[in-house]
Order: sequence, then C-alpha cells, then structure tokens
Amino acid sequence: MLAAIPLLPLFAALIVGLSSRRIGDALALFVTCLFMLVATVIALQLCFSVVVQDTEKTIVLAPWFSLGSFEVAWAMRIDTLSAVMMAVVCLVSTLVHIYSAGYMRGDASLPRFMAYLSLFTFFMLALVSADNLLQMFFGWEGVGLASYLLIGYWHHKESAARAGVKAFLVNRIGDFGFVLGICATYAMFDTLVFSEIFARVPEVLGREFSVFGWKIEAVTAICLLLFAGAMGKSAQLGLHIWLPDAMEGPTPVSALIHAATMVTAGVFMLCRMSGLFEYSEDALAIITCLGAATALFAATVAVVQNDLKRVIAYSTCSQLGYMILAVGLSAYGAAMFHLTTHAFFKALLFLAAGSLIHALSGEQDMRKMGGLRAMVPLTYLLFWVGVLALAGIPILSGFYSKDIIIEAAWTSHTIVGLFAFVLANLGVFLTACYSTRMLVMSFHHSPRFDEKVMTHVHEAPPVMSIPLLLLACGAIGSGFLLKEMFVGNGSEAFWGGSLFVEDYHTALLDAHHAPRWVKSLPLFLAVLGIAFGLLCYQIFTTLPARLARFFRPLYRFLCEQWYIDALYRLLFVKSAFALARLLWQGGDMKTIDAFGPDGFSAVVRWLGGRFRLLQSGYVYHYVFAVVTGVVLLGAFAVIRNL
Amino acid sequence: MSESVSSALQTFLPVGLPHYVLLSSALFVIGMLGLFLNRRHVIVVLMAIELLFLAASMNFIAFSTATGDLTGQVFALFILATAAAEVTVGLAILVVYYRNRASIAIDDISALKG
Amino acid sequence: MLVPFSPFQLTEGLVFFAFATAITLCALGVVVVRNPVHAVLLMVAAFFSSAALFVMQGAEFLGLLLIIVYVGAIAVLFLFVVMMLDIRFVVTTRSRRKHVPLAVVVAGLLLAEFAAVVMLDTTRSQQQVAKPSPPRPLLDNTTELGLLVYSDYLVIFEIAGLLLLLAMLGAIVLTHRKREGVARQNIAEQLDRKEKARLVKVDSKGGV
Repeated sequence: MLAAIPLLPLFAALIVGLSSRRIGDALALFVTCLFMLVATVIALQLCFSVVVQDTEKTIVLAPWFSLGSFEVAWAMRIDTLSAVMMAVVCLVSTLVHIYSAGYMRGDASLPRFMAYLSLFTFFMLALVSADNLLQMFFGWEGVGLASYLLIGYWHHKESAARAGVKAFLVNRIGDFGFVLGICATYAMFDTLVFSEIFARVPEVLGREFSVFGWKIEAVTAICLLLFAGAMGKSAQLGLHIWLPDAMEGPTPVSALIHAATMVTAGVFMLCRMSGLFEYSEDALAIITCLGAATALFAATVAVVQNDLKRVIAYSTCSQLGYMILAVGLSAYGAAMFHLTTHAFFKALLFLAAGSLIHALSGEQDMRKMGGLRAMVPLTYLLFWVGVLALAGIPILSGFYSKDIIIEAAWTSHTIVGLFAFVLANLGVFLTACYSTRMLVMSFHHSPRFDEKVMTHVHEAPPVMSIPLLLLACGAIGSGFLLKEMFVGNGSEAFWGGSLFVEDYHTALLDAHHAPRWVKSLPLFLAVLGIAFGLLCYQIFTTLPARLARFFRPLYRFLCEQWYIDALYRLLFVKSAFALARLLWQGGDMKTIDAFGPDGFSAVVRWLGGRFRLLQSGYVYHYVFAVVTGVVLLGAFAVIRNL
Repeated sequence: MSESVSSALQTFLPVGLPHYVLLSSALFVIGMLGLFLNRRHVIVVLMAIELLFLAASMNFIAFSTATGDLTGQVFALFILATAAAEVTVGLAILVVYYRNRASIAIDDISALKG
Repeated sequence: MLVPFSPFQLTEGLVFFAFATAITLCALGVVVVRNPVHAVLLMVAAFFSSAALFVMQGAEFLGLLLIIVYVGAIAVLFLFVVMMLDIRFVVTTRSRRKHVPLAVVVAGLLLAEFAAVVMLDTTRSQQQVAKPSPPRPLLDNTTELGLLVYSDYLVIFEIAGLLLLLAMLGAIVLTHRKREGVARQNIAEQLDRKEKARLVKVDSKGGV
C-alpha cells in the first residue's frame, strides 16, 4: 500500500496525459487532485507511523537490474527522512494541484498541465523513496524532465521554450557529475544500495582514485561528484543560472518545483548520503563555502530585480544556499528543518504572487504594481505572513530554521564555519530588505497600472485562496511545532538511522548553547533589514533611485547577476555555437556533403547528362552500338582461341 | 614464275567451304554497313536487311554442300519464306508511315530522342 | 604449272570469283548509291549472281527459287514501293560523313573476325570435310529436298505457310483505309431491326 504513494500520481498522469485531448478540464482536475489527495493521506499516515512507531523498513517492489554482481531493485526505503520528504512533497503538490484549478482556468491544454504536475510528483516521490542510487537517479532525471516540460509548458512562447531547454541543459551538467559519482560509488563499494554503501564506508576509507596520474581520496571524490549533481539541481552558485529563467513557467510550477520540491532534491540527496559525506571533511568544507556563497550572491541580486517572480526565485536560490551550508556543517537536521519550513513559506509566497499576478491580468513587473493593499486584502495579509517567515521573524517558521543554521555555523568553530557565519548574516539582512521591498512595491502607495487592468482586479477565488491559507498555517506553525523533532532534543530519536552524524561533528548540538549575541544577531539584522526596506521604499521613495545612481557600477554589477550569465554566454554558449557552426558549414556541408551526397548527385547528374546523348533516337545509332558490342565480344572470343 | 603462280593459286583453289563462308561474311558485313552507314532513306535499310538474309542463306547452302546434309538447304528455303514475309510487312509499315509523315528520311525518325 | 588442279577446279574457281566479285560489288552498290531505284536494281543483280552460285554448288532448286521469289516478288515489291512513294534524293551533308571512318573500321573488324574464324582454324579448313556416303543413290536436288521437307520438316513447312498468310493479312490490315465514295455493304447494319421497326396497334378501319 505504501507503493501507492508514488504510483497514484503516476497513474493519474498516465490517465490524464494519454487522454489529454479528449478528457475535459474538469475531469482532468478531478482525477489528478483526487489521486494526489489520496496519496497525501497515505503519506501523512506513513509519516505518523514512522515517527510514532519508529518503523524503518525497505519494501522491494520489483526487480530491476541483475547483471552478475550488479543487483539493483525497485524498492522503497522507509525511514524518517523519506517519510518526511514524502509528506512534504505530497502536501505541497496537492495544494498546488488544487490551486492550479483556479489559476490555470481557461488554459488551452489544462489536462496536459495537470498530467505533467502529477508526473513530476511521481518522479519526486520515486526520488525520495529510493533505496539505491540508481533509482534515485531515475527520479532525479525524471524531475528534470518534468521541470523542462513544465517550464516550457507554454511552448509557443519562445522565451519559455528556451528557458526549459536551459534548465534541462544546466541540470544535465550537474547530472553528469552525479552519474560519475554513481559510477565511482559502484567502483569503490560494488553496490548502489544505500544501506550497503553506508555499511562499507569504513572499509574504503583511505583508498584513492587515480585520475590522469593525479591522486584523490576516493570518498572525497565521490562526495564531490555527487555534490556536483546537487549543485545543478539545487541551483547553487555556478549552476544557478537556470532558476531565474525557470520563472517563464506558470506560477504553480514555480511554487511546486522551484520552491518546495525539485530544487530541494539536492539537499535531500546530501542528507540521504550523510552516511558517506560525514567521512570527508574536505567535501563538507567545500559544500559549506559554496552554500554560503550562494546564499549571499542570490540575496544581493534579488535586491535589484524588478520582476516579482524573479525576486522570489533568487530568494529561493539564496535559501537553498542556507540549506546546503547547513549540510556542510553536518547539521543535516537543520537543513531538513529549513527545507520543510521553506517549502511552506516559499510556496505560499509564490502562490500569493501568482494570485497577485492573476488579479493584475498577468502583470509581473513590480514597477507597474502598487496600491493593491485595499483591493486584495487577503492576498496582502498572506503575503505579509510569507515575508515575515522569510525574513526570520519570531513565531513564524523561518525564524527557527534559519537561526539554528546560523548558530551552527558559529559553533562549528572552523574557518569555513566562520566564513559561512558572516555571509549568512549578511544574507539575512539582504533577505529582509528585498522581501520588504517586494511587499511595499507591490501593495503600497498608489497604483502604477492603468485603468483597464484596474477593472479586472479581484481577490483570488476560494479554490486558490484555500491552499494559500493552508500554506500560511504551515508557514506559521511548522517552526515551533517541528523544532524539537527536527533539531532539538528529540532529534536523535526522531531521525533515527536516516541521518548519520559523526560524533565529533557537534555543530548542531552545540548550536543550542551558542552565546546570546549569536542567537540574537540574525533577528537584529532581520529587523534592521525590514526597517531599511521600509525606509527606502515606503518613506523616502526617491532614495533607491539616488543610491542606484550613486553606486552605478555596483548597481549594474548586481543587475547583471554578477555577470555570470554573460560570462557563461561568452565562454560556453558562443564557443559551442561557433563550434557547431564550424562543424555544420565547414565539416558537414563543405566536406561530407560535397564529397558525399551533393558531390555524388552532381557527378551523377553530369554523367546522366552525358549518357542522355546516347539516346539520339536514330535507329542506326542503336544498330551501330549493337554491332560494336558484337564485334567486341567476337574479338574477345577470337583472341581467346588464338 | 609458274611455281609462284602455282603456289599463289594453291591458296585460293580449290574452291571450298572457306570461300563461301568468307563470301557470306563479306555480304553480311556489307549489309551491316548498309544499316548504319545509310543516312538517306528507310528503303535502303530494308534492302540491307535483304542482303543479310542472303548472306545467311548462302552460309547455309555452303555448309549443306560441304557436309552433304540437305538440312541446310531446307533452312535456306525457310529463310526465304521468312524474308518474304518480313519484306511484306516492313514495306506495308513503310507505306503507312509515309502516309502519315510524308517523308522517309532517316533523320526525321527520331521520336525516341532522349 | 597448273598441274595440281583439274580443269573442273579451275573453272569452278574462275566462275566462283567472277560471281563473288559481282555479288560484292552489287551489294556495295546497294548501300552506297543515291537513287533508290538503282539500289533495287543492283540488289536484283546481286540476287542473280547468288542464284548462279547456288546452282554451281548443286542447290539448283534454291537457286531458282531465289530468282522466282526474291527477284520476282520481293525486288519487284521494292520497286513498286519506291516508285509509289515520292522519294526525294536526300543529300548527305558533309557533317554526316564524320562517322563513316569509324563505321568502316567496325565493319572491317567484324569481317576480320569472321575471317579469323575461318582462316585460323587451319587444320579444319585444309582438311576437306568428309562427306558421309549417302545411304541410297540420290535423286535430283528438288526431289531430295521435297522428300526431306515433307517428312522431317513438315511442321515447320506448314508454319512457314501460316507465316506467309499472316504477313499477307498483316500487310492488308496495315495499309487498308476507308475511302469515300466507294459502295460497300454492311450486312449487320442492313439487317438491324432495332430502330427501324416498331409495333403499333392499329385501329380497325383506322389505318396507320
């Protein structure tokens, strides 16, 4: 029955997807939402049973590969980590399904959309419930595919199609590292099943891979390769470029995939592989640095974005940096905690933004919003909830999860931890700034949009606002409710065997005993950030423009996302296109075609032209040809018999 | 001198099969020449074909005489009949063609030109 | 000087060469001359000479048949057609003469091959083929031929007859054309009743 959790969305996707042209919108919505609802119920029930009764098991569903010593099966690994993830995924997915009923109403191919959503959910659930690296990779690739399909859902829009391809390609780069990691794992451990890998790690410590004469410790190498996959999937610095462009997809897609679930797959994978990563200090250090860098980078860029969804996208990128940073500090529980709370408040923010965009008939530029405070009060209120949670204000969930990460950074007492601590705090300040900016620009002051849009402004219908309310409850409550279980005193018993932490990695445990000033610094910075945001945008509204002019180079730098996209375009895209063009025109057209088909056809045509002249139409020519042939044959015969 | 004449004559006499075969070959080749040297009328083509038939008959008769078997002459008889039939139909076609095209110049018959 | 040869052989040789030359020259003339009537007449001459050669070999039936059929029928037919069609003298232009050397070369090669077959088979050509002695004393050529044709080659003979019939029919069918102003009958049309008679109920004392 537990297999129903991933399989129900799959069936829904297949049923609706294969009949997407004939099935009506209502029926498609009904089937997918119903199946998702049932799956969610089962998942929540599973979560309870795992947490309360402490069941940990592996359910083998079907055999997959069995080639000699390489044995991999379709199996579900049920432990706290997977149960929690499944619950989160199912819950958010169901809410997004229901939300889509309202947001995507009137879309031309709604059944296709719902099918894709369910398909994505299936792959994500397959990913989190995997008991071996290969099945996880299956889910990994599948969510990448679903992401491509959903980002490019409005495929006639060229920017959307391109964004989908970009997402897929960048993911692919990360996936390449992931595949290499899987191969390296198999080479070193001779198995891909998690439990077996973790059992064999102590044996392979100290062994090395030799790559082109350069030696690297095996465990570190595997960890770094797997992390490369996580970088791609979770949009860490370097492979983050696809996430902002992914906002071309419909807002429910952004909420589900690019806030709550797919991008967190990287974090999940790192937590799942904690039994391996714990043994590689170098890998953990690199992970911490990269996570912290991402957190700060994305926050700096978010401050200058004008598109509402892009602000939230960069915010996601930044928060993922926090989660990765927590993983690097061996604070896996904190990472999962932040993952869960983030899922709620980020999905809330995205869906609320969606509701806003829907109200404004598709306007996404914040410079053209404003004055909506009175017109869409419920959305405004929910937005406040999301913003405060994001900024890390007490009571709301973000406060607990973000603060524990920053505290753990301090108590890890390492250089990288200190580095992370500084960057993370700066990030907190900037997060508060841009979230406040987002809110003020969208809702406060007077409207900056025209009359025509004004007439259509309406509050979200219940089918959209009820999921928002539920998410808001999660955003508010998940913090203090789950704190003890995820990171507090009950966390050891809670996580059980699903997360492994070495005894000397005490950052998370010590975080509870961090000095007072460390505990209160993030809150102080958050409040400061909100105040600064209000100052710039609510009170002295000309200040931002003046600052931008004053710090013009810095402003441009941030606007162009630190020129990373431009750099990639220069380095890779241009050269790839140049190479392709060279191969196409020089290699393919001039060489192969010229000597091959085109050359051939030209020669054949020329020959045909010559041979045509033989058909003169005069019989005596033909007779002559016959006689000549006879003469030649005769000559041959005569000479042979000489 | 008489010896050289005698020896010269010895290559040509007595008249036997080779002579007749050579003669019929020459006739055959002349007929072929007629087929493709001719650029004027179609009639000449038919006459050249008659020459070919004649060459074949002569060959048959020569071999029949050489082997003493009368079968060769029987076949020459049939060749004769065939030649007659062929000339009849060929000339009939020619006449009809002339009726339609009003010309039997070879160069005008080039409808198969590719 | 001419000791090895008998008078018969000498005469035979002389006659053969005379007629052979005639045949060759006449045949060449057929393909070369411009006037088609001349060509037909040269062809007749060639046939006559061939008939003479046949008679010399002892196939007198065929020789005479050659004259009767070839000259008497075929050549005459040729003449008829040549005279009937209004054939203009077509002058071969100079450009058309380009091909002559090549054609002559090819024909010469063909002749050379025939000659090679004959001459190079030296053992055979010098050895006279031994004629098998006939089982019974031979009658004259015609009778012998008839005996052979009507027994062993009867079927072919009949088929040859059919062939000639077909050729005749073919020629008629090909060249037949309907002419205006000629009275002819179409029996089927004459006897056709379909539209020419109809049944009418006539009232008595009423008339048609």
